[in-house]
Amino acid sequence: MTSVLGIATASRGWRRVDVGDATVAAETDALGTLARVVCWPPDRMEVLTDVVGEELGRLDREASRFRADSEISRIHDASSSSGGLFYISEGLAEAIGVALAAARFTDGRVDPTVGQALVNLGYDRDFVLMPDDRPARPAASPAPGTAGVALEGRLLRLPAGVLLDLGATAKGLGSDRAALAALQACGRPGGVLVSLGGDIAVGGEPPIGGWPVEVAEGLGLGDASLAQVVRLPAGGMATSSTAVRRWRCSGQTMHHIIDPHTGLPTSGPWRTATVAAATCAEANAASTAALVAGRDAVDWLMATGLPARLVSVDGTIRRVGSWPEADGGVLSVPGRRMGGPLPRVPRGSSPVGSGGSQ
Amino acid sequence: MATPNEPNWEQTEYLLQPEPPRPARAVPGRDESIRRMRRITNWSLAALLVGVGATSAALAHVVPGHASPAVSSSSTPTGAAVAGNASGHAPAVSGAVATSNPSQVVAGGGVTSPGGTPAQPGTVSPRSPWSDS
Repeated sequence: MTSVLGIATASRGWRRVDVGDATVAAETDALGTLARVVCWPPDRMEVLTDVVGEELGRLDREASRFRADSEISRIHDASSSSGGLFYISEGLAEAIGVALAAARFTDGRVDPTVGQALVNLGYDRDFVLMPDDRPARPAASPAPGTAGVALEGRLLRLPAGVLLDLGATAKGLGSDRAALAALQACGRPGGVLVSLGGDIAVGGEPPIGGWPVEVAEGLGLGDASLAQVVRLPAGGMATSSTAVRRWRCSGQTMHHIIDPHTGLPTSGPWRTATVAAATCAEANAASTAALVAGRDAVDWLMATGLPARLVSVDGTIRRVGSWPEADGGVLSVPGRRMGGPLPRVPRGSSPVGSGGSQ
Repeated sequence: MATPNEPNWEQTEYLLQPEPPRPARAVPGRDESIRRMRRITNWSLAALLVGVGATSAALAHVVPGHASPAVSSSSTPTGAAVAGNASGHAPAVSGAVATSNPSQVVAGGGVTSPGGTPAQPGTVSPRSPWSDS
């Protein structure tokens, strides 16, 4: 087991993480954050890292607005002056379809047309490349809204000047896709967990009681005593926070959770939101929307029926819905609440390997 | 005197005798069938009860209430339940295997796996008939 990971995955940038004997985990840097794959039985990891790496690479080439050669960047370039109608790839159509579904699901609290607002606030490149303080004065530019954006199959209509940012759903979608592809590759019995920057999707058969996942604010932020371990048996989980991805723009502190209605960083009573849902993309959208909702977050989350955990700016924890009180509690993940396309592995994207060792 | 072919009307007692009993085997045959059916029904019912009991015991042993999704909650990444997929081999894992936290920023934004070829955008037609301007 060790030799498989130590040799095979190291050559592809994956490194082994010790998580115990019954499962095995590997990590790599991807999409500007950390990707982790956990699986059982352990001997399938080599196949899974190849499959997951391919899926994350595909998403990056499709939807990253920080890559000049990504499909979405080229569409932005082409539509900047007069808008346009584009025949886009199946994968990007899925990603935009999920983002538009998230906008409907969250009543516009999550909006993929916030791209220009983020640029105006200085978030115009991969976060790790951003200077500590942008000299430019931040300019509020409310999102134009999704009314002018039309997606029909693989045909996308984009109005002039609209920049799409899929940040509220893309990582979740990436985890969903990767978990699905991994599940198809490794077969059964077995289970897989994919985490992309803390946004988690699981598939197959979980360990007894569900996948144990720590919910935290991470990177030394906040109080470690606020962390909680819960068990995720199915679906996905995502955490959004105003406490990370912060930068300064002309002396003012910014963060990446933008209220589409104002075009400015949110300033509600909650700093971190974690949500569990049927898919990671749905959880991702809901956790972001909860922060944007501010004082309405609890009511909105209750209305969705999604279990959630909120941390206020002063560190108070609020559990919503069926979120377990106890450490180690099992999450009860409801069925799909958000519409839009389901994650799928596109035709022609053949998983590496021949189906694991089943 | 009566001829040999004529009945002897004087032997009226013969005519007044009660009808001879039906053959003894007729009644036991019907009762036996009823009893057989009852036996079959009883045994079937007993077997059904034993089966239900055994199944319940087995499920109660494997699925400790709501907290064993290893059997009852296996799913696809879409959250759709997959019924009857328990292998009985799911491991018991105690420590957290992942952390759900705000997106951690690391250097090197791209993926490090193979396949990082430049994007192949679809057909772009910026002068669209749907164009707003």
